[in-house]
Amino acid sequence: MYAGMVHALHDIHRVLKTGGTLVDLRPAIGNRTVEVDLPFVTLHAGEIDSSGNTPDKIAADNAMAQVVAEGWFIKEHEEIFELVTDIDTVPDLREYAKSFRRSVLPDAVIRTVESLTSDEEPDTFSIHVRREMQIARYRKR
Amino acid sequence: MPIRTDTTGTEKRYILDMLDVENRHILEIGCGDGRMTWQYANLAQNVTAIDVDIDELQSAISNRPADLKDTVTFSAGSAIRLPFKSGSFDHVIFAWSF
Repeated sequence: MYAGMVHALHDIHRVLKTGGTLVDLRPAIGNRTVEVDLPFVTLHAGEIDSSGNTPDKIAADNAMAQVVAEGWFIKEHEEIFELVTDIDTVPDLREYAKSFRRSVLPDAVIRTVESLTSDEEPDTFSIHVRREMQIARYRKR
Repeated sequence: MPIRTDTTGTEKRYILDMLDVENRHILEIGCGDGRMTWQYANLAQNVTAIDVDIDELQSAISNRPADLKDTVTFSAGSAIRLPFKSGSFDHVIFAWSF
């Protein structure tokens, strides 16, 4: 995996013009959080276990560090931001989880969301999934 | 729509803060269903968007706004072997999928 990432970054370097820019955008290491937004309060319902992705994220960090160390790119800037997904219902939350490759939405979190929303009309609450993203800019050398 | 990501445009703001996309040739790797592509493509000269997931690409193509038809090109592919000439792009956006 790691070797493939480095190879990919070398090929990105090739297709960039001289002085071109690479933006590296990906989820940061850590779990997504699930919360329920009720009429007068927002409640934490649990976390989506994203630990299965951690080895790939570390490999990506290391691959980026390697191509910088080797002089292919110069790292110019990095930031962290929060990306929020709004979900209308518990079945929609289950559907959203089907898109996961290695993350896991625990049944306990679904039960918590169901419990928090069981007395609510459908349009009086929403479910939010929050994840940290990292974005960095690199300049081709 | 029951599932909506980034309704406040946070991701778009960060990308546009990082890159001057205006009139540039951009390669987006890992475009998925095109959700992010639509947010900046109207400013670019052209966007080539690739992904390994054919289902996601089909979704992106079917959801492509009519006014971006000449600007955005989708194709199947990964970063491992990019089928483009050297020095083709001003910017590459590499959206890793984990």
